[in-house]
Amino acid sequence: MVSTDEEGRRKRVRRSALILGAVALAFYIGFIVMSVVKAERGSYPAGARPPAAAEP
Amino acid sequence: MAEHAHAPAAVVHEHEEHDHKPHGWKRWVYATNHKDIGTMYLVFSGLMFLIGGSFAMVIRAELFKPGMQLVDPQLFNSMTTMHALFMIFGAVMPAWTGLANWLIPMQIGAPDMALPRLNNMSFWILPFAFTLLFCTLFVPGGAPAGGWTMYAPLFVQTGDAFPMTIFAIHMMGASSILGAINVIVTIMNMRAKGMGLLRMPLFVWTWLITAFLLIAAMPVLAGAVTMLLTDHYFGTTFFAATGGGDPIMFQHIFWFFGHPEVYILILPAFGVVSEIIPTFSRKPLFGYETMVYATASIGFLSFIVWAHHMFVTGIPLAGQLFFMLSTMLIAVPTGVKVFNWTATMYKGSLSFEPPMLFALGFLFMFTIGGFSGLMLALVPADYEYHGTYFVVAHFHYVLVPGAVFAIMGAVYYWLPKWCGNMYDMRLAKWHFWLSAIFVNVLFFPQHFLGLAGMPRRIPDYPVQFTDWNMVSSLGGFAFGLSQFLFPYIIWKCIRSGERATGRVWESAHGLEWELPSPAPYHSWGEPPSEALIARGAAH
Repeated sequence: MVSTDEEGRRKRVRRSALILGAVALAFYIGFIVMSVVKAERGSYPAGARPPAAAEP
Repeated sequence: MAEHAHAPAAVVHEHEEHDHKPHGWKRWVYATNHKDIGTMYLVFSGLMFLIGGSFAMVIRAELFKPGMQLVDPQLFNSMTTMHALFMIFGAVMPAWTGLANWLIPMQIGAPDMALPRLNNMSFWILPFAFTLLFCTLFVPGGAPAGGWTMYAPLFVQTGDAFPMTIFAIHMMGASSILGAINVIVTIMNMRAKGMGLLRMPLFVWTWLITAFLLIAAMPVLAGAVTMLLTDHYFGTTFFAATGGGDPIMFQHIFWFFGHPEVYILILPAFGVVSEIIPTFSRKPLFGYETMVYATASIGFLSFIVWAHHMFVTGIPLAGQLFFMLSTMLIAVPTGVKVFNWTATMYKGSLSFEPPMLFALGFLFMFTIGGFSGLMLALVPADYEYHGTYFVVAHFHYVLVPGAVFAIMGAVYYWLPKWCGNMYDMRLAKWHFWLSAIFVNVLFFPQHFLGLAGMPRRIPDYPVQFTDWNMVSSLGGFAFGLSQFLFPYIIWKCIRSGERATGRVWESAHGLEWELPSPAPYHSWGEPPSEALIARGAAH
């Protein structure tokens, strides 16, 4: 027989573990997505152009 | 120093009635008991110290004199890379997780970690990860040699070891994240009634903050190495300038993980020292709450300083100023800690048992590492020091007489509680003094080499660097040899020794000291009373 207190604690344990796992996953995916977005935009700020290649 | 235990009747009763444990290999493979898993982590960490240390011996042997004598440059670079990976991810981090497993449930009055099966999985991932990493030494192209920072595009050129290393790092990261989740969930949900957050021992506090750092930092490393993998095998060019990518971006991402990682390695050491110094000063810790806030501040600041590792990459002046100043800001909470430890000892009744010796060694030598860190935080100075042996000296002062001394101090502090026997104090003091002398012979000359311009990660060097390299290598060999005392002292303690009392050290405070020694296999089946908690939280 599991007491109500114990059942409540189990729920809290499960919920907080899942939330923390989701935070970790968000950091993992978030940094990859940020890198993809940056790659789409290029290494230069919007409107800026890379320096022209020197003429041979 | 020792006195009789004050174990409550309920605890003793529990010790007698419920000390059943499984036997044979199943006890370890299917382990869910926090003490068993803690022991496995600590043994694993010891093994990794041995392997990582042997890589360091190869490095110091090669650098003993100028010219190439023992290994080729590729293997030398593999040794520096593998030494770092084994020591950081295999030795120091698992040692802290082992201590967390052993101590956190006992210190907060919980019967075990909140997620015991996850705990088992967190540990058992590690032997597979490090076996895979170790095997890279035997594949075509050799072990990874691009440094533990794995900078692109250099690291992408690694041979057959590349995917093995990436997979191993993913496994280490997964293990750390699962361990961190378990620690946070345990501390937030399993504390005994009456154990408020500001009653928790400092070791628990520092581990709680460390676990949050792990949750935020380790996935970033995993993301970085995943992108390295796709750059290598799937035609992406995240970090390849030839395809429009940006190699500097890898450094930003890596150090967003890498700098908090430094604090992941050192924050639990702050916790350990905050436990040891009051016990052997026979005084409560000075400024408990400021210690908690200082630890939290360091944790936060660790996420906004990463680019101080990248001053020479040409980041804008505003960026250099921001990262220089934010880095220097860390000296404030760190200074608060050093002040509080010193103030705790002030007018205390000090005694110098091995844990206190290691804590004092930590205090002096970690501060040296902290000061050289401040020097490196200065942009103009960093332009000179970057990539030299000065940096090597700096981070080894932080990690060896810093983190590693704290780990050894922690083992000497809690070992009698774990195995029920006192250890050989004389030998342990020998271990401290040999370690303290030779760690300085090993690393202090590296400051001079760095200031004279010797670059790091080179197997050969001009003759003017010979003398200090010889001194450093001799210190390294002696330091390495003296470490064999440590497992011998532990082994001897487990097999024999004077019986330890419950409290072990007369001025020790905390719930773990209310249990008998050795701590029962299942502790706090009956939660501790509020009176017991109040007595334990006498800080």
